[in-house]
Amino acid sequence: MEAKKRSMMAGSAVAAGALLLTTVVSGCGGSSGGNTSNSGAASGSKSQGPVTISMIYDFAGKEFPKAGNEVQRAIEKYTNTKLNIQALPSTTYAQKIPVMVASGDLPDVIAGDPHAQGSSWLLNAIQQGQFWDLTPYIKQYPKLFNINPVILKNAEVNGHLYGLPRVRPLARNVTFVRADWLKNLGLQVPKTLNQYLDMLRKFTHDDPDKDGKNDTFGASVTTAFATTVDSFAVAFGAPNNWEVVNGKFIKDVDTPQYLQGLEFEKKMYDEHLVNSDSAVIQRPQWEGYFFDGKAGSIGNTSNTGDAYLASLKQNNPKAEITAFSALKAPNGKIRVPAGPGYNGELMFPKSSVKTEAQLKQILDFFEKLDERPMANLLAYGIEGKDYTVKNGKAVINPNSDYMDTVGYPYRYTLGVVDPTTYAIPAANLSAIDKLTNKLVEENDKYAVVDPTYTLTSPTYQQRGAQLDKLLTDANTQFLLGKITVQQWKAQVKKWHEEGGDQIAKEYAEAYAKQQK
Amino acid sequence: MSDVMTGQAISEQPVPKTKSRPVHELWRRVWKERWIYALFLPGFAYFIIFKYWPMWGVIMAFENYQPFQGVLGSQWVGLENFQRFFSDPAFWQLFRNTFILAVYNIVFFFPCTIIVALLLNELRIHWFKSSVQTLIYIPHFFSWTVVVGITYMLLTTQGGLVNELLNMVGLHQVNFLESSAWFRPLIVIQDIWKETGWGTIIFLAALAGVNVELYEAARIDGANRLQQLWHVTLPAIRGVIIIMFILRLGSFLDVGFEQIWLMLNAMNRDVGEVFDTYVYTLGLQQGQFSYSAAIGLFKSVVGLILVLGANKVAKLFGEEGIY
Repeated sequence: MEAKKRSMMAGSAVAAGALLLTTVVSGCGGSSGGNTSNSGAASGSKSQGPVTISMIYDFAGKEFPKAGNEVQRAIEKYTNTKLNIQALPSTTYAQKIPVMVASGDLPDVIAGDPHAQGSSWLLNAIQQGQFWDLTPYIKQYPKLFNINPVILKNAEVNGHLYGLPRVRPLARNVTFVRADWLKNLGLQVPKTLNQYLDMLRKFTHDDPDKDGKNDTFGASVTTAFATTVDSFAVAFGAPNNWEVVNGKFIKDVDTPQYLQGLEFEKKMYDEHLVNSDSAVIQRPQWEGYFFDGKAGSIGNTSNTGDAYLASLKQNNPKAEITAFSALKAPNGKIRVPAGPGYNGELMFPKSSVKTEAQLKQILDFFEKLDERPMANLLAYGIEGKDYTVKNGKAVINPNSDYMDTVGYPYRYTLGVVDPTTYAIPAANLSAIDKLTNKLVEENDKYAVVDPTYTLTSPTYQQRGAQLDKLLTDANTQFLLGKITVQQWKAQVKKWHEEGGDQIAKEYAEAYAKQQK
Repeated sequence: MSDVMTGQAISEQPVPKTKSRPVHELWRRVWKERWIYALFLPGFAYFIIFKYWPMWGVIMAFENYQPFQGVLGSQWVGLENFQRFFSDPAFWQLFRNTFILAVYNIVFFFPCTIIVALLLNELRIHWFKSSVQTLIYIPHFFSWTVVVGITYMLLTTQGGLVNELLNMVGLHQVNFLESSAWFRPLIVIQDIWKETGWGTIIFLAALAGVNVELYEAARIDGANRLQQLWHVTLPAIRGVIIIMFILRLGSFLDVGFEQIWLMLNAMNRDVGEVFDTYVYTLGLQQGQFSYSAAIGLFKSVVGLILVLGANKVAKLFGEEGIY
């Protein structure tokens, strides 16, 4: 009886299992139906039909335009492709892409930066040969790889290029200021650090918006997004992250100039010239303070000028902005930190791009984006809507929604070389764009390069994010008055002990190897 | 577990007369009770697909897992990840932070659900009771993003309601959100505000099952409301309280990732960084999957030990326990 009962139980378990299997299989049936349509499109590409390219990337806009919009259709038509784009806000993207890589289910093109903090997973994947090495193709695509050699070198991993760097100016951080506030107070755009501090004070205390209320402050800052302290430190003479002295690697926090920069910024906090919740807020609140007319200035990359002015005008049509970048330190020198010169790379996983022929199809697509009609589209938008051509120059429509429909979703995400390189010249760049272009160009003279962009350190790969956080947290705590200079120095010492020294050693070794 | 359930379903059937072809007989009965099996299937599938099947991924914790090589192809490193974890400079800080928050949760939040359930149980006006119940359930359905957003708007130093009020009465502003001292109280208050109502449901169900005659007998013996509560209500739901407590211990170290992640910043990280946020930073943001799997496994083992221990203790005191 006992044996009988057990066999019955086993039998019923099998029965249940069989029923379960049926549901699972039918579930798979549904999804495989979806796949069939995909592979149908892919197999269509083998004939002369459009090539299907799937991609995932980050973008800085608010909402990604729906598939089949006018701009994407124009790109697809010209390049004879069908684009399946999945775009995510930068912060979400940074969290999602490692999981996607882990799942192994990747599209043909992904955006990633193997040099960025916390990208050890990507570097590992590259070192395992999971991404196409583009080095052999550089000569075959002259337009696509028309890139400043310094930037190209920064994008390489161990001397090989594994992605198309989305080229940006080397030192592109600018500060946007309310021009109408400056005018109200009879101030000039600051040229030195001290003038800057003075401006912040007057923005805070002298009622720059002339509404009779003490409701403004100097600058909107957040520790979540932009790290202003590093640029102050560099201005005072600290290295940009690292400096090579006689083959040894010196970290910025170990220089007295870094502390000078930190103490300069602390003044801004102590005197309440900046918002007091900088450690809490995220991007929307941070930009909100500027757009709502509470803060008089905000720092960001040079290409945000038009968008910032537009957002500002929505709240206050009379608002005007101007910008500045490099500021002269009390010692009379001008220094700005240089970035890597690119914002992420477009990379091609071998798991989805299986053959060289497929890779070439994709590279062809990007090369075609550099031909004049596409360059015009990416640089200015749709002809007749966003701009018109007059005497061979682009006359930009000042009321177009170019940034939302073209700029954020396509230009800054798919553009490798700046499209204005190949587009017709612009007849009427906006004043703020003209200004920021000039500022960024001038910055090349003052740019201080981070020598570690081209080097790798295994310890930094593994523990870098933790160690960086140790230092940025210490900075924030010092700025907000939670810890003293001594305690800040203790944190720096801790950083050295927990891996900083090891990183310096590894960089020095990698550097010595590179110099040979 | 599934065997037990199916076994019961079958044993309730009358004993079959013919025993010649048991398998055929079995299928016939399965078919006869097919709707009961159909009801059982979703639960069965849930446990297999979401609980048992993913468990094999635990071996990641003993590997140097590399996404492109897969679980089977990655290098086996044994206990290296655990060694690294226990010697990690952050380990004791993480452990302390997680442990304190977990204890706060049990000490402050857990009794709240019981007290509110008892209070609701004492209400005699039906419409009032049910509307209060509905109202306090609502916060449960808010996402943590919303709750933290409300917290920010109330407490920010940049025009937050509470700080404006403090200003008005001439007090100093308090930087609640950028403070280590306020971090734990805020987390517990948020927890209580959001989840207390929802937590009362099981206790209310238990309270509804208390025999009314016991109260009548107590009243005849001259017990007042408080004495009834102490001598009748609480003993009646003691078993449920203990079961809920033991179940809670199973997820003792899960202190709520989303909430803490959203509340965390440079100024309160010394008390706010917990296992879950650390795993997230390392595992998902930096791709150290094996290391974070090892930490996750450690947490589960702690939870398992606590559940087994608490169950044993409960049985020693003559309670039923959870199994």
